[in-house]
Amino acid sequence: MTDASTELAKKRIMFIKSEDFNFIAYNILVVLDVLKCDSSVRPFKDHRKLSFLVDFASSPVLAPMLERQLRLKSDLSRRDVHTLAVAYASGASRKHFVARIVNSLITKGFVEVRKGEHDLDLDVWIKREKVPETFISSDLYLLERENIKKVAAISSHIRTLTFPTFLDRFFERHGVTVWHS
Amino acid sequence: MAFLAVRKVRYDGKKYEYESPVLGDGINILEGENGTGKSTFAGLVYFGLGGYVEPFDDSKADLHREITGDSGNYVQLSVTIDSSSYVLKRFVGTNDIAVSGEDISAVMPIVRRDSAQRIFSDWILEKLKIDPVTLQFGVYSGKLNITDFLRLIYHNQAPDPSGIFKAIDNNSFVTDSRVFREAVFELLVGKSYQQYYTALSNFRDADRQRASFAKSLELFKGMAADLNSGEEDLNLVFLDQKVVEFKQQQDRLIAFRRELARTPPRIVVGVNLAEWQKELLANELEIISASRAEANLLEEVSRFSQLKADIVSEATQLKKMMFAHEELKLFSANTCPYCLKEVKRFPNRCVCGNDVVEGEYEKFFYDSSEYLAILKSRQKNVETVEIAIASLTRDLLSVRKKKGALEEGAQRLEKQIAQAVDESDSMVDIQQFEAVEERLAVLRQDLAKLEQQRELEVRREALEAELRSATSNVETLKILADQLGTAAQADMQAKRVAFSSIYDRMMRATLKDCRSASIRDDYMPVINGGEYTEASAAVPRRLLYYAALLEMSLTDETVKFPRFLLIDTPETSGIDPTNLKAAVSRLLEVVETGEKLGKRCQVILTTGIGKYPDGMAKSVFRVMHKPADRLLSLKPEAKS
Repeated sequence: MTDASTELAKKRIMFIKSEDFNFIAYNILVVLDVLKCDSSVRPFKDHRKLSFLVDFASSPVLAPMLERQLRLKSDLSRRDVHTLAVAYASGASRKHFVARIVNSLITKGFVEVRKGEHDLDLDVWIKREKVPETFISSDLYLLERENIKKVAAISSHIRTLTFPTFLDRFFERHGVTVWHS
Repeated sequence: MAFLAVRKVRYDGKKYEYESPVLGDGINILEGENGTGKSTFAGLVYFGLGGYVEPFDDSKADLHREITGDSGNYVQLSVTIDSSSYVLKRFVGTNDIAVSGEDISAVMPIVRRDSAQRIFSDWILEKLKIDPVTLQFGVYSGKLNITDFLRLIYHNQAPDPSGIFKAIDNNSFVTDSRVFREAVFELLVGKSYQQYYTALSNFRDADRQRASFAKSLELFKGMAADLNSGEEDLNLVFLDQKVVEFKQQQDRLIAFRRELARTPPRIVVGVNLAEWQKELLANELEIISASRAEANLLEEVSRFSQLKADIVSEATQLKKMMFAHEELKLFSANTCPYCLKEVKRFPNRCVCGNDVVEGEYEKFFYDSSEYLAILKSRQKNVETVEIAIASLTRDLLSVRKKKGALEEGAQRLEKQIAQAVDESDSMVDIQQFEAVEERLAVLRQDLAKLEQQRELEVRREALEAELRSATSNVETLKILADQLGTAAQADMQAKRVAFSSIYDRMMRATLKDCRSASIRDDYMPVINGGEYTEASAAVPRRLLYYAALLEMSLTDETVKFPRFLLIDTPETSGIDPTNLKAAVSRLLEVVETGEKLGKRCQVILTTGIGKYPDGMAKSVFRVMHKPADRLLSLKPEAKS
C-alpha cells in the first residue's frame, strides 16, 4: 500500500480537527495573547480552562451565542444548550492533549508555566518575544481574537477564574450537565 | 218635634261634688244669692251638652277655682230625648263626651277634625231630628253644630242683653255671621228648611263635582290633543271601523308571509354538495401530506446548509493549522508522539527503531502538503453538499407548487360549497319576504297608534258622559233646591208671622209701653216699629224671644225647637223687678199652654232670691244662701 492516494485517504480518515495539535496550539497562543497573559505577574490561571476555551475561540457560533444571551438576558434555546453541551464534551475529551501541547510550547519557549494553587493545575503565560512575529500579527486569526474578546466581556475575570467557577459560568448555569470535578 | 229635658245634673271631683234632685217637666228654678253658684249650674248643663265654658278652662284668667282646682272631675247629665234616657258624661278639661243609653254606648269627640268624622253633635242633632246642615260662607263651608243651636236655647247671663243670640263659644266671624244666625233660626223654626238646606248642599256638592269633571275633561282634551297630534279626528264608531280594517290587512299579510315561507326549495342543476365535500376532504388530506413533505425537505436543506457551513469553517481552520504549522514548527514527522519532542530518526526506521518502508511510515502529525490535501477534499465535499442542496431545493419548490395548486383547489371548492349552501338557505324569495315584513311593521305601528287613539277616545267619551250626567244632576238638584227654597220662603213667611204674633202678645203683656213687637226678615225683633230703645226693655226683649220660640215648638208640630230652655239669671242691674217678674210669668204661661195641648217641655231657670212671680214658688228645687250654702259642696275627706 504505497499508493499516495491511499496514504492520503488514510490521513484524511484519521484527521480529527478538534484534536489536531496545531489546531489546539494556535488557539492556546491566541487566547494567551488576547488575554495579555504575558508574564509571571499576569499568568493565565489553571491551564485546564484552556481546553474549553479552544472551542470558544475557534467556533463561529459559541461566543456570539453567549454574548447574545447575556445582552438579551434571555434563556438559551434547547438547540443552543445542545451546541454548548457538544462544546463541553469536546473540551473535556481534549484536556490531556492540552497538557502535552503546553509542554511542547514550553519546549519551544513560546510559553512559561509554574505550578498553580492546586496540585494539578498550572499558571501559564505567553513569551511573546519568542513567538514568531508573523504568527502574532497574522490576520488569519481575527475570528479567534474577536471570539476571545467576547468571552472576556462575558466574564471579565476569565484569566483568574477557578476551574469549577469557570465550568459553572460557561456550562452548568446554562443547563449543561458537567461530569468534571 | 223632639223633646229634650235634663233630668239630673251631677258634678264629681276629688274635692267637690254636686248632685241635683230629679228635674221634672215644666219650670225648674234654682234660687240663690249672687256668688252661690247659679251660673255654675247653668255652666255645668251647657258643658255637659258639649259647650265651652270659659271659667272651666284653666288656661283663662277668669277661672272657676273650685272646678279648675279640682281633679278627676266630671259633669254627668241624665237627659231624656222624647221617651229615651241617656247619660252624658264629660270630664273637665276634655273634649269628649261619653254617651250611654238603651241604643248607644260610645265616647264621641266634640270637635270635628275632618268632615267624615261622626261627633257628639251629629249624634244629638240626629236624636233631636235636626239635620247638621252644611253651610257655605264664601270659601268656608261648615256643618252646623249643637252649640250653634244652643245659642237660641241657652239664655246665658249676657253683659249686654240687647243681643238675642248667646255669644258664640269661640270667636269666629263665620259662625257668628248673619247667614249662620238666620240658618239657626230657620232650622229651629222652619218646616221644610231642613230639606231645603239639604237640597242646597246636595246641589253645591253636585256642582262642585260637575266643575271637577269639566276641569278633568278639559285637561284630558289638552293631553289627548298632544298625544294625537297629526291624527285624523274620529269618533269611536269610525275608530273601531278603522281598527277592524287594519286588522284584516294584517291578517292577510301574515297569511301571505306564511305562504311564502312554505314554498319548497328549488332544485339547482349541477349542484352536488356531498360529492364536493368529499373532494374537499381528499384535497385537504393531500395538502397535509404535501405540507409534511415540505417540512421534511426544509429540515434537510437546513441540515445540509449547516454541514456546508461546518465544512467551510473547517476548511478555514485547516488553512490556519497549515499556517501555524509553518510558522511555529511545533510538530513534524520526527516529533515523538509521547513526549512531543524532536526525535533523531534514521531513515527507514520508526521512532522505536523498527524497520519501516519510508513511504508507508505512519506519521502522527501532518505536514503542509497533507493539510492541503485534506483541505482540497473538504472543498470537494463542499461541492457535493452544494449539489445535494440544489437538488433538495428543486424538490422543495416542486412540493410547494403542488401544495399551492391543492390549496387553490380547496379554496375553490369551499367557495362553491358555501355559495350552494347560501343559495339553498335563501330559497324563499327574500326580497318579497322583506317587503311583506316591512309592510307588517308599518301596519303594526299604525294599529298601535290607532289603539291608543281609541283608548283616549273611550276615556274622553266616558268623561263626557260623566260630565253630562253631573250637569243634569246639578240641574235637577237646582230645580229641587229652588222649589224647596220657594216653599221654605213661603213657610218661613208664615212662621215669621206666627212668631211675631206670639212675641207681640208676650211683649205687650209684659211692657206697658210696648205697642207692637215683631221680627224682621232677618228674624231680629223690632219693638214699636224700631223707635223703642228703653234700656229696661232689653231683658224682656231677649227672654221673651226665647219664650216665643218655646211656645212655637209647643203649638206647631213642624217646629224643630227641642222644647227646652236653659235660662241663667235673667236679671241684670237696672232692670225693673216688676218687668222681670212679668217676663218670667210669660214662661209659666207657655208651659201651661203646652200642658193644655198635652205637650211637655222643660225650662231650667236660675234666679236671684225671690226674683220670680209668686205662683212659681213650687217650681224651686233649691235655694242657696251665703256663705255656707253653695252649689258645689266640699267633700268631707277634702276638708281635712
